[in-house]
Amino acid sequence: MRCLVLDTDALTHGSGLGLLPAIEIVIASLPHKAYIARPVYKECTQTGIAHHLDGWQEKGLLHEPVDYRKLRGGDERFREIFRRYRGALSRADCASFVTAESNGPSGILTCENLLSEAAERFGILALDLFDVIRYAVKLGYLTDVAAKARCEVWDRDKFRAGRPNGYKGTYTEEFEFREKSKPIPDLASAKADPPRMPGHS
Amino acid sequence: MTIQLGEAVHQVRSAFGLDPATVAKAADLDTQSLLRYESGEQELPGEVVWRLSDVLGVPLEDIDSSEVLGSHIDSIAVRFKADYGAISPGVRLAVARAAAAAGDYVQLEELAGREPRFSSLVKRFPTDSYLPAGKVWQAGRDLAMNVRSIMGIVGHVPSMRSLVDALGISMMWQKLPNDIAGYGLCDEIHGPTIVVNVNGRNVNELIRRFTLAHEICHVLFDRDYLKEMSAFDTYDELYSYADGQWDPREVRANAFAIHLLLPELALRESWGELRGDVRKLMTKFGVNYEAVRCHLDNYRLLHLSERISRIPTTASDEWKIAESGELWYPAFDVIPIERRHALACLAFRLWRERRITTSRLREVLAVRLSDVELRDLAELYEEPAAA
Repeated sequence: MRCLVLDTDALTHGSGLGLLPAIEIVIASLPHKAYIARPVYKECTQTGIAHHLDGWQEKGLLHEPVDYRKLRGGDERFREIFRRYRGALSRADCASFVTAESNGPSGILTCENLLSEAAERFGILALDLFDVIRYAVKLGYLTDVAAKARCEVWDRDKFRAGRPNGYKGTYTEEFEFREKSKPIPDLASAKADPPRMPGHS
Repeated sequence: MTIQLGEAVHQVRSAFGLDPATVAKAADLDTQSLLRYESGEQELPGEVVWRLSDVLGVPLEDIDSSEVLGSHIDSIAVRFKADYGAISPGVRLAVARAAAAAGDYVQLEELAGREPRFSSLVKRFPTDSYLPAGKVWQAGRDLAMNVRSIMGIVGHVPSMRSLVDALGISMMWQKLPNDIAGYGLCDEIHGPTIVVNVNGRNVNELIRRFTLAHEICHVLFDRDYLKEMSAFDTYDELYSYADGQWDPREVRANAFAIHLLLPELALRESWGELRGDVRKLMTKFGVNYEAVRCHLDNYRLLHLSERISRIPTTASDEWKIAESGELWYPAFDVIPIERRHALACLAFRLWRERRITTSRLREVLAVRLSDVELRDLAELYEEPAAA
């Protein structure tokens, strides 16, 4: 996975669950950092979480917001996706896909089931907040106990925003299930290309 | 033929009779930038394209040929044809907003697997050009009786809102200048839609019933003749159906409306039964004073009614309840009025069913709400029961 495109709601729910530092760690581990489509950046401004993105951008974690129209064939690809998912996906969603596709093997961080399904059809790896937790655990940022604590809201509340689709019911069950069914991409390549950010070696 | 986006923006703006400053202001741009985008001197960023799409009511980001653009332009600009110069820029932008909302509603209905309302309506009600000189009002009466029969209406119309729903017409509210009662949109892109002005006399339920009845006639039978018609129905022109006084299509729509609400036979029977009590007649059939008065005039029952001084149109509680159901609470004000009702109800339903994304929900509602605020609002929304 070369880069990760961020969806507004993953950032919003991640923020609500105190997972933004974990997301930041994941982004920092990527060879090409994270992209964010310009409209998504705008949505984040509107929903009040843009200051995190500004902070990340200052640390060199985020590339400049990308306008899908400036990417080669961006307009045509946008229309294709827009028509295929007419009515179901927003213009910002479609723009995120165009951005993700144009960056080679990419992932998209989203809490939207619909967006994950669409992403996988386009060959884009869909990650959710539980994957972020798994990454954080593997990178040693979160302990098992801390990760478990983060998931307690999902264990308790089936309808909690940001709860991964098909969540097994407890952190341990979900973790085991995912280890078998959805191995997360190897971060070794990411480590070979360490993030250039102030304060990180 | 392919078309450049800047050129498309220019074509839409010109066809809608909007000056660059008005469009630029509505899209939060400066006029010079808009002109540079239109001339192709500067490339349009994606999000500016979307803002212009919302302002102009045409999905520019989805248009790649001049033919498709033409069909979008025609479907909206046709509303401005008959009295082109008399329509203010504010009203033109309002029509574009209504068109955008109506288009979104059609799209969501398709996603929900509903039968397309426009093609169903076309199958059920072919347009009618029958406007015989000197007998236009009879044509309106016949059409009304036909619709009453098709819809199985006996006696009074219990709720015009429900009838509009049952006909497959979507109802939308807008804040328009006080003299405008409403207008209709009816094509494949926007679906059959009646736009009702919340300002002016429509506040009164009985007057609103008449406005709806009048617009039903235009949507069902005049949809192919929009170019010849006045764009908006004003309160002054409603009610009269004397031949030769107004545009024949308006005369027919007025005759249609009053006969839909109060057919000739019911009028004659009730008039005798109620001993010429206009107030009781208004209450029984849910019709406003002016319309009843014109109706009595036209059936030469005036000799009784003329003794009665003007009666203020006051809707009884029964009619208030029958025509209510709108979302007027302050909490809903965050959603633009065009999108606050049927469109928002359907969008929330599809969002709950995870058939549209949260980002799409925000787009459809045209809101900038946080997730928590959206969830709070969702709790207040329930889709109205089918009519």
